[in-house]
Amino acid sequence: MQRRFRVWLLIAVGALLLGAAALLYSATSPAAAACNTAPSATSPVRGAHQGAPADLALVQAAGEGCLNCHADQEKVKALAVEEEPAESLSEGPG
Amino acid sequence: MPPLEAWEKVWINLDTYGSDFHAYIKCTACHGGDPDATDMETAHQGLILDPSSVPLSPCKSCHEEIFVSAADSLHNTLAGYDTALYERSSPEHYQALETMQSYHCNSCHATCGDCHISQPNSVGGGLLDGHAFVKTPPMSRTCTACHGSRVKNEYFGLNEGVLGDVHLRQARMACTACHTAEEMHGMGAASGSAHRYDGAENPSCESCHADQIGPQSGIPQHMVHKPDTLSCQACHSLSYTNCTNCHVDRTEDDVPFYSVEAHWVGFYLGRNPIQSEDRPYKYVPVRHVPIDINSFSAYGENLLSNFLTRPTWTYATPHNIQRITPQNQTCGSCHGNEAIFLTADKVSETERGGANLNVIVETIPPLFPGMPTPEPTQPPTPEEETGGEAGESDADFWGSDGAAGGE
Ligand code: HEC
Ligand code: HEC
Ligand code: HEC
Ligand code: HEC
Ligand code: HEC
Ligand code: HEC
Ligand code: HEC
Ligand code: HEC
Repeated sequence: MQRRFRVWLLIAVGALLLGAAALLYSATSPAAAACNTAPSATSPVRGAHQGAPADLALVQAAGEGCLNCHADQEKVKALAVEEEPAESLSEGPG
Repeated sequence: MPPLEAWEKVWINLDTYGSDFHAYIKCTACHGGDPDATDMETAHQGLILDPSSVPLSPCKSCHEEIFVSAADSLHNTLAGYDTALYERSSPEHYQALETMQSYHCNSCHATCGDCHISQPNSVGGGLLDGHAFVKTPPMSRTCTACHGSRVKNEYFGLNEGVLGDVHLRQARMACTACHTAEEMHGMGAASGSAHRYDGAENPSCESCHADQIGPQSGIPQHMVHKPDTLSCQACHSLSYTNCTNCHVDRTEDDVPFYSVEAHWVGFYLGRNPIQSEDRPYKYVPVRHVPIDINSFSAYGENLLSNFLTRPTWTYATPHNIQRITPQNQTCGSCHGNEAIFLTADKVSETERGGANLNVIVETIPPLFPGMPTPEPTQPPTPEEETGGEAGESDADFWGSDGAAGGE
């Protein structure tokens, strides 16, 4: 069981790495344009990248275009909107 | 729990998530959506908000054992509600009850994400730790976000005048100190359960206190009673919430809501309604559950057609354990003290029948001659005995709930 899992994991991670590498090398990946702005020098994405282990590049790649916004505090602050506060009609302990 | 800002709920913190194994998996492999989009709206098209709640959840491929048993756990099936409802009803009403549940119970079930990744929807969602997969669910932001009224109030000591649980005050134990991964994932003893009190006690007090109970404990009250006379909570828990007349309904705009007509804090020892080899006790604390024969009348007539097939006073395990309690101060605090037993006069007339008859206490244990009785002067309260230190703050443990000490 243990052993099977490890082998499986190796394959899974391998596949992920390949996928990630492929993404990395496609410099023109349209995903990078999501959110319509290139990551700025001060974005936390870059900042974290500099100090963190090298495999953050793979994390970034797996993050596709999504991280351009979701890892950028300024951008999520600009885009995230508070939902309508849920109507609280219920009373008493439930 | 201070509410999260809208942006905090969705901000991915690469300082934490960056070193998480799952960060090597593409967002879209779990969430769907369009990775090539250039604006938020298109990127989010077809988005799966909670990938761990869909039947083909991506978690299964790597965490198969947990996934398969969790799918069958009470947190996912909510079978406990079905058991409690259907037994009080009859088959011709099941459809109407399903409809009611689809309005009122849809968001209660707990997904992997609700315990490990983001706060439950009932408190507005939001990532726990920048999308890191948190191994130990933080108590205040997951468990008590859902178990918010009853268990939380008891455990944290939020019911007025009732002290919080000794395991929290004295030992700083979080829910997961007792409720293990195995139980939460519905594995082992917890597997395939149809109700929370099915099978053996899980967890059991004995599992941690074996050497402090029984004849060798040196504690007179432990030594004098047979092990099947009283549950531990019968002597060690304080008053708890009881409710009556809960009604559920919808507004004109289909917003579901409920109201509880009355709730009060009280302590009652009743006869054990689910006595079995696993739970052999003659007497246990019993709680009035928030159900009423007309609770669901907004969804149909007489839906609880067999209302008293299950007792309305049910087996309870309150989460406010103390060493000394009002009922165990002396032998005579309990023997001969009718006030703490669920005698017929304490049960409303309409409910004085059916399964409640197995709970109602007819003769209370007598006060034997020579038994010590409570001092006429007020004995020390547990609070004075143990003090109630809140402990240093530790946002990780409390899950940012500064008031967790309950004092
Ligand atoms: C590609 C395989 C894979 C998938 C898919 C996956 N996991 Fe994991 N998960 C792992 C591995 C490997 C670990 C152990 C990582 C470690 O020990 O650092 C792990 C660890 C965890 C942990 C414990 C975290 C810790 O810090 O110990 C949780 C909780 C978890 N996963 C939940 C989930 C959930 C929920 C999903 C679905 C949304 C999921 N996982 C999908 C492989 C996966
Ligand atoms: C999204 C809401 C939600 C979250 C988060 C949640 N629960 Fe629950 N829990 C429920 C519901 C609803 C039930 C009732 C299921 C039933 O009886 O059918 C339940 C049942 C239980 C039970 C009894 C059944 C069993 O499986 O043993 C325990 C114990 C429990 N929860 C503890 C916890 C703990 C500890 C945590 C945090 C690690 C937690 N819960 C997080 C909603 C939640
Ligand atoms: C009701 C809350 C709850 C739910 C729902 C839940 N877990 Fe857990 N999970 C826990 C607790 C508690 C632990 C133990 C944490 C500890 O030991 O510190 C845990 C531990 C884990 C671990 C760490 C390994 C282990 O077994 O100790 C993994 C992996 C995990 N859960 C995956 C999942 C997956 C996948 C799902 C959905 C199928 C899921 N969990 C649903 C509460 C939950
Ligand atoms: C292994 C599967 C998995 C991967 C990969 C993954 N997520 Fe998630 N994500 C989840 C789960 C499960 C939740 C919890 C949802 C819940 O409980 O409601 C979640 C929650 C979220 C939330 C918070 C939703 C809320 O309102 O609480 C956001 C935002 C999010 N993910 C974005 C992303 C982005 C961006 C990526 C890629 C960098 C990503 N996710 C990668 C499974 C995944
Ligand atoms: C000292 C151990 C301990 C701690 C800590 C603890 N519990 Fe429990 N819990 C128990 C025991 C014992 C039971 C009864 C189990 C049985 O009889 O099968 C129980 C039962 C439950 C139940 C099902 C019964 C009910 O009242 O609905 C829920 C839900 C629950 N616990 C939630 C929680 C939550 C949430 C926390 C944290 C705030 C927590 N527990 C902390 C020991 C503990
Ligand atoms: C996971 C282990 C665990 C479980 C389960 C557990 N306890 Fe405890 N209990 C502890 C610890 C640890 C302490 C703190 C011991 C101390 O402070 O000396 C404690 C303290 C206590 C005390 C106070 C003792 C004192 O010296 O003041 C009582 C009474 C008690 N528990 C009763 C119970 C009861 C009743 C249950 C079941 C509802 C239970 N415990 C379940 C671990 C547990
Ligand atoms: C008939 C009432 C009664 C019952 C039932 C009972 N206890 Fe106690 N227990 C007491 C009293 C009274 C004390 C305090 C003795 C003292 O401090 O003088 C006590 C003390 C304790 C202590 C603290 C022990 C110590 O060394 O300080 C623990 C732990 C404990 N009980 C656990 C349990 C557990 C677990 C159960 C269930 C198996 C249980 N008790 C059942 C009355 C009871
Ligand atoms: C919290 C309540 C409570 C406390 C405190 C308590 N008892 Fe009991 N006792 C009971 C109940 C209930 C029974 C069972 C009566 C019956 O069978 O109907 C019982 C039964 C007994 C029995 C018969 C043996 C048995 O297990 O059925 C003896 C003897 C006894 N108690 C003595 C004492 C003495 C002495 C003390 C003080 C040291 C004491 N009790 C404290 C509730 C209590």
